[in-house]
Amino acid sequence: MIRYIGKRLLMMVPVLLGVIVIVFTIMYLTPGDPARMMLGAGAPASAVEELRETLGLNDSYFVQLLRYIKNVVFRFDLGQSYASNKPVINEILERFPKTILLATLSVTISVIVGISMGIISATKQYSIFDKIATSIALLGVSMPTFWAGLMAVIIFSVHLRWLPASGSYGWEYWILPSLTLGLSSSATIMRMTRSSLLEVIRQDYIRTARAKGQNERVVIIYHALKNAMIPVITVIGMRFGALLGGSVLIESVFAISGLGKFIIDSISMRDNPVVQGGVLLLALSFSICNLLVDILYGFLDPRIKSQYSISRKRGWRRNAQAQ
Amino acid sequence: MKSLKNMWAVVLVLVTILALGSGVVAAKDTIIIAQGADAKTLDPYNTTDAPAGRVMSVIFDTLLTRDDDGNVAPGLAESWEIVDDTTYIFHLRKGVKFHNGEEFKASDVAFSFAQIAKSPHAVSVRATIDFENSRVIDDYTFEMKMTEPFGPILNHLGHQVMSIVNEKAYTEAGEAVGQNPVGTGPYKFVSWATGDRIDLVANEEYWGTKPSIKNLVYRNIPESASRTIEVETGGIDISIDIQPSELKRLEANKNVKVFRREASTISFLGFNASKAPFDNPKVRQAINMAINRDAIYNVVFQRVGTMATAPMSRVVWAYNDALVPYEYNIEKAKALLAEAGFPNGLELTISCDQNQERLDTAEMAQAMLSQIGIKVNIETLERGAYIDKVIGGELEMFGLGWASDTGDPDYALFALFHSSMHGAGGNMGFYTNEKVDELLEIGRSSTDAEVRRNAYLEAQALIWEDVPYIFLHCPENVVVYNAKIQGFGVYDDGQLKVENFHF
Repeated sequence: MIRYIGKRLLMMVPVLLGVIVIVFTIMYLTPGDPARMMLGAGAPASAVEELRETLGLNDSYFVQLLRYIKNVVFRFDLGQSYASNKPVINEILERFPKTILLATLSVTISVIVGISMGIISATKQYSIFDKIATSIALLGVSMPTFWAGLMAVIIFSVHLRWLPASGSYGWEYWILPSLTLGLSSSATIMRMTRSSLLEVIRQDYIRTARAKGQNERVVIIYHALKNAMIPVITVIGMRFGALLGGSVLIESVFAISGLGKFIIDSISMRDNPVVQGGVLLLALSFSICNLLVDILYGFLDPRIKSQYSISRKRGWRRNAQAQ
Repeated sequence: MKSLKNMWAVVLVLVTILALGSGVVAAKDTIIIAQGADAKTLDPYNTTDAPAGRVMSVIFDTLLTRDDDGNVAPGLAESWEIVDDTTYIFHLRKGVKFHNGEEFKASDVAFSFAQIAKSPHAVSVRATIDFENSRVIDDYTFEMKMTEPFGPILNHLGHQVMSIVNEKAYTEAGEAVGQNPVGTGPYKFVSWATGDRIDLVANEEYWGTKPSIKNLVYRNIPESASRTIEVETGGIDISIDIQPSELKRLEANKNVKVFRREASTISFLGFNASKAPFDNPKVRQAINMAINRDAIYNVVFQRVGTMATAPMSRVVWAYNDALVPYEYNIEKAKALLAEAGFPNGLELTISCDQNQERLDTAEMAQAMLSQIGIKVNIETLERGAYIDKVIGGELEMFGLGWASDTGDPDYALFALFHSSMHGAGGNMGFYTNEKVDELLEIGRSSTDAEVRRNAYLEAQALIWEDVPYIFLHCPENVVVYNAKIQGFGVYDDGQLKVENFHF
């Protein structure tokens, strides 16, 4: 298992290098001059030229790319933001904790709500509860989070005055954004749990468990749910990975200074070092998320776990042969 | 065990009450201002970004400022002498302290000027200042030389990018200078939660009106609707950048007051005169005549701001108020277009960025121009690509705006209409008129206010007639604030007079 993890971590290196090259190239090819964007449409050409020179934008594509890779790989230096002159790593790390917190809170909410609603509507298929839950889920999937967030603010901050409308200065500030975001993604998880559980419930071994007189709750939780979780975990992992990139709309509505809005703004400002650094971090956290999901698979399904060991053995044999 | 739990509960309740209580007490001496973006940096020489400018305007001072009528007024320089066209002597205020306790001296001016000389953000503002030959005469006297006479230079000295910094603090901060601003202004920098808020505290030793509100907080709330909700519910005290569509509701709310003032900005639909047929004034005039600006003013701008009545905003001095408003006349426009050689109309493209007002304007223009047989295509571009194409002269017609940051007609007109500024310089319509060039040069080089005024009045009349752009609208600065704030006011350059605010 540990070897498997180690191998997966090593595989991230080419992925991240690929991300660096691709993002760099896209930003390089995107029309719009960073120096011009910093100085504004009416700035004299001489000023723009001066700034281009300072930022090293006049060098050729390869010189710039190699310089960037060299700094990242050998000095762990992501460069400085064009706009603020601050090291990109600081800019990102100052925002990342808020993004992680929001992602964790909302994924937790969506897991709790989504899985329990999914179980109930699968076990009570076609009951009135199932119908209500599926309709709510449909609503949750189709409702834009942006609008839902604003509505939540109008109800809970403006009319009821229970919660603050924006900012992130204490636990009470996190309730509305994480609920909005969590409930909207709980809909997907609920639907996934429901359909996957419905499939598993019809399997022979569930019938066997019931036939031997096992308590229904035990049958569902221990026998059925565990096997139904694989696709659900996949969805949760993807969702968490995506949320680590920040939720632009929720961040804007609730004025949370996370990564999402920052990276989007940096793209439109052509603050290339920030975009590259930000996307690199996203790729890294997404890869780690995927790895965690794969490890979780192993715990849920012994067959998958054994595959990890097989691949380890095969790899070991290959190495042995090479020697 | 149970009593321990109970004790914890009591402690928790007490802490909550204390926390809430202190929040209420603190609110009385704190003003929270929300804007649509966080400052990028608080290094005055490294940005001309508006959100940063608002924060820096209370941290830093400039040598000169402007009074409420737009006239040059003393700042850190108490008085000044104009020795000749290229020599100015500034007598500096004595006993002014920087936020780090250092005394303000002429050497700080010299140091700040050296930074300005290097800053790419300052190129158009610093104009023709001769940095090499400007010098410190004594601790409280500074001589500024010019390489060439530049009429509006005193106005330019009040621009953000001409802020005076403390030499010691600026050098010591090194790379982190953007996060450690040290100025002489009414508020001192305390802390900055990146992307979120900037906290300032009153400068007890401020040389001007001492601020009575102890704490000033600038928050970044990107969503306009969220800012409005916050100011209505009292979560913040002042909201900047308000959408015209929200004005009616806010004006009806008794808890807030709305401050509106014309801005120095003008928005227009530009013609690219470097491309046929827009090099033909008759084509431009015909199109201009077919545009119903009243309708655009009512629908797109919702009657907030004013309709443009000259090539620059009314708040810029030397504004020409005697120009004849453009006529809206479909028949005449058709005839003019036929006279220009297009009896069967033509096809053109109006480009804009994702700015909703510009897009709406383009769509209305599309409908209006179809009446004189012009088929309009609308193209939306991402902002970076858009600006590249505008200054590269690749577009036909485009929506844009221009602000006179210094409140001087030179800033409003020279870059936009002088033929030496084609493309990247600011003349994005590639407009050329020799007589206008000559007048703008007189306005720029003369230091005689009357000579300058006459030159600008005439230049505006010529530009108005040539229709290089379809001048549409001058927007307003709209600020919404807590009705409990007393002494609310705004400087001529649009910055808040925070030092006068009190509850």
